[in-house]
Amino acid sequence: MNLGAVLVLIGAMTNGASNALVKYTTRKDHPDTAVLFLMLYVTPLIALPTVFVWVTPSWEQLNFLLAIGFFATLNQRFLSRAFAAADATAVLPYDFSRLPFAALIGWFVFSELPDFWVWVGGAIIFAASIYIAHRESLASRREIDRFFYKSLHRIFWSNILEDKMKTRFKLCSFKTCPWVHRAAIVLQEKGIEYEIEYIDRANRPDWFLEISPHSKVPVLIIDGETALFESNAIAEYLDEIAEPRLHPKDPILRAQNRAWTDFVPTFGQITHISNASDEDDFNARVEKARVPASRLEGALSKRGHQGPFFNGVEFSLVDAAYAPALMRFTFLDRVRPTGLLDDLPLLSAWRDALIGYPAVLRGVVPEFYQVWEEQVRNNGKWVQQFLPKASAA
Amino acid sequence: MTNMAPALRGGLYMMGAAASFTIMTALIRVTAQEIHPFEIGFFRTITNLILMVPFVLRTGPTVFQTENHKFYAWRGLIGVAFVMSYFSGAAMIPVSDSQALIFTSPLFAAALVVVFLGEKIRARRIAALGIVLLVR
Repeated sequence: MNLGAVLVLIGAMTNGASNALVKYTTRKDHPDTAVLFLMLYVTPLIALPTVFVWVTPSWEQLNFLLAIGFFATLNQRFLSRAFAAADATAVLPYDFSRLPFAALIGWFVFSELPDFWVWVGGAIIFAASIYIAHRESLASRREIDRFFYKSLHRIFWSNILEDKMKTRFKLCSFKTCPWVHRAAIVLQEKGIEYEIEYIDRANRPDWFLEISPHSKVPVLIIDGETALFESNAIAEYLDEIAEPRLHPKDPILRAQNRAWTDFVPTFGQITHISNASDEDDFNARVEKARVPASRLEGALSKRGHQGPFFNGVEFSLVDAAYAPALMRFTFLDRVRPTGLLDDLPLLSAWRDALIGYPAVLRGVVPEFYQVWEEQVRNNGKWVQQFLPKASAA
Repeated sequence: MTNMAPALRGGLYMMGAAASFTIMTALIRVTAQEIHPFEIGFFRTITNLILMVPFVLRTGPTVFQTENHKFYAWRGLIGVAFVMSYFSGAAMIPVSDSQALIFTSPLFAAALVVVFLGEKIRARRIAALGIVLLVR
């Protein structure tokens, strides 16, 4: 490699970095601001070394110097227009024209003919860039963008990058909904910031019905543009995009985790006990819930570890899936004991671990018990007579 | 140009950008025989500032409003590194060589992130960079 090639490569490197930065600055500031300040900062910095090599240019030389500045500016304007007109992958292939241009100029002005390997090398390098640009799907391009913001932020600590590198999550919820609680637990466990928008269960807005095929919650809105529905799909998605991974690494364990997560709707009938219409119905519902509860106890006994969570010491998506039902059941069990967990020690211990777990508690509003109590009272079912009278006032 | 398909319009702009960059490089190669590349770079930025005057006047004082001075200062530093290295290098090697090498810009952008931050990067990108190094 000769020195000229090395210097041009360093130029390519800094040019790449600079072009990447342009893309991330122009959104908040006026497009001209970015160029203006670039020039305002570059000029004194380049003036410094120029002092040592200064030659006062002749008029003819000045023409050349101004022409260089003119074509550099033209290049800038053309580039920004090209990227504004169409997607980068669509316009990038045309950049290859610079090789025949260069060959033509080199031949006319300098009588230099590019050697065969320049064409081959240029074509390969070029094809590699195009290939990469095309292979990245939209989703992964987004990820790369975000990765870039994050990396840039770490270098520059710039406040404009800070809000760009974050994915914004919004969870649509009914108050006290256990399925939303599950998504919230996963968000909490992963330390992801999110906001909650409460939707009136009795009067679901049109925009919500549009994004939720079966008009149920939760719906997770990502960056205000993509909506995911179904708590399980949301939990799996969140597990894929953020650390720590809550799914076990082992494929069999993971499949078992998923299977037991799918068991939640069956087990979830323990939360419907509160809907009992009278004492007989209440007892019947408790009896009915005994079967899935003992199945779960059986699964816990075969784990081969002491807990406290489903997979051991690590909190998992299974824990996030069962915690909401177990928490609501526990409230009911305290108001009107069911005796359901009396002979299920492992399930009891698991329940205790879950309802005291920080992510589970933070997944609902702080006064969640009062909200639950009020809901039971409003439902006017048989169990509401066992609620403490004092808080009724 | 407004009736044209956006991809073609963008492509023509891109070819305009490629042509102007190549012409600039050729002019640098000629001028650098008598004037140091740093001085060429100095005049390049001065010219750019002069050419920006009508745009600044049109936009008005809002063009000076920004909260990102630190960010622009860093960009300026990178910009100076570019001007100094590219202008010096372009003066030494044939125009077609420098233009073939400048194709590596986007790949370097990806590689920089790895070097600076030691982050993982897709195998594809590493493979592409490998090709670049092999070709040289």
